[in-house]
Formats: sequence, C-alpha cells, structure tokens
Amino acid sequence: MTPKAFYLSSPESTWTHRIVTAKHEIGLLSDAEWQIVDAELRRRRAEYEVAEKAGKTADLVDYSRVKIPLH
Amino acid sequence: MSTARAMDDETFLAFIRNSVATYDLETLEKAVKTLNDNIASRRWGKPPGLEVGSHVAAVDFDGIFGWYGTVIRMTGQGCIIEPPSAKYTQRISFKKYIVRVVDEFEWNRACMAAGEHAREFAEQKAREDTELEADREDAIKDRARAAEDPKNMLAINGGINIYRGAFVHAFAPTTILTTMGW
Repeated sequence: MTPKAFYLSSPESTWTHRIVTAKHEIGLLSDAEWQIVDAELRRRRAEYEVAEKAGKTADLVDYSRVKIPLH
Repeated sequence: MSTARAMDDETFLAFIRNSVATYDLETLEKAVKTLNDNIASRRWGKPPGLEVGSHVAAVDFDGIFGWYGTVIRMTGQGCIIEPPSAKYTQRISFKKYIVRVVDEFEWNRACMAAGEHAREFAEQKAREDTELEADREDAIKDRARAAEDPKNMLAINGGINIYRGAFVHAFAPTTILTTMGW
C-alpha cells in the first residue's frame, strides 16, 4: 500500500493490479461475498489455462468488464 | 545504365538543381523520402539467396533493434521471420532493416542464447509466482490483525478503510474495468 494506491492480488492471475484510489469506486466484500468471488476467479483461471494449452486464449471472454453477481 | 532512363546522370542532377525551387515543400519532402527508400533498398535491400527457411539477422538502420529468425514468408518489401524459442513472428522491412543471412554456426549460437534466455525467464516467472502465492496466503492469514489498524483512503465513492488482506472490489468508471482481489 502507498498513500494513494494499493496492489490487489487475486487467484485469477499471476500478477498484481495497482489500484489508484482516486480513480476507482472501491467496496469491501464480506467473507460470504468473497467466497463467491474467489470461486468465480478460480474458475476463470482454470478456463484460461485450458484455453492456453489449446492455443485458444483469443476466444475467451474479456472478464475485465464482467461483474461477478454476488447474490 | 538502364535503357529506361529519360536522361543521363548529369542532366538529371542539373534538372533537380534548376527546378527544385519551383516545387512545393511537401512535394520535395515526398521526393526525399522516395529517394531515401530507393537508396536503402538498393544499398541494403533483400540479400542474395534470401528465401523461406533462411536464417537471418536483421538490425534496424539505427542499430538499436535487432532480431534473429527463420524466414517463414516473403512479402513484397520484406519478410516475416520467426525468432528462435518464440511463439510470435516479426515483420522485417528491407527499407528499415539491414538483413543478413547467417551461417549455421552463428544461427546455432543464437538458438542457444534464446533457449537459455527462455529457460531463465521461465524459472524467474515460476519463482515470482511462488512468492506471490506465499504473499497472498500471508496476507489472508494476518488479515484479522491488519483489520484492527486500517488505513483510510479516499476513493471516488468516498472514504474507505483499507488493510492488508481486505477483500476488495475496485471499479474504474473511466475505463469500465473491474478488479477484485485482496
């Protein structure tokens, strides 16, 4: 964490994302909500790895613009 | 001398000297570019014997970017090469690169260097992935303690209390990008 930003890590990817707070709407998730998110992010990672082995990553959905339903 | 020439060399140069002042600046700049392209193509253009399957070294005219690769396709003004130990291809223009066909010895050395670089990169990536995974587990393990001393930060939707290990949803309205993690 820095005064204006922090780094997010997730099971979806093998890198971190720098989040500048002044440019984001930020919400904290409860444990229950995170369980849903965590499962979905791991599913996406598995989907990517399968596609990577098949050489079909270009066919994947761009999940950066897809919200995960929490309820 | 080409039989298609309209005038000899001296007459051609005299024609340029005498008439250059009468042409638009934009036209002269286009003429200079055309001349430079033609000179580069004739001086350093397609090397003799270049064909699909040739191993080449290509260096741009500034000497900054260089590539080794196998020619997989010829194009009108260049070729497409596949660098050793790579999954991508690189377009090489004869107008921008000095292309040289390399011998087997140099090609083998390039392949060995590329293979070594790829192996080092893979090892470094695996090491960083392991470190990141350990860092994640560490953040989750200590999140309860870190939650007791959160850091207040100002986001678009107001103040938030962030701590190491917090489960976060971040949305960037300008790029519509959603990021989730801890």
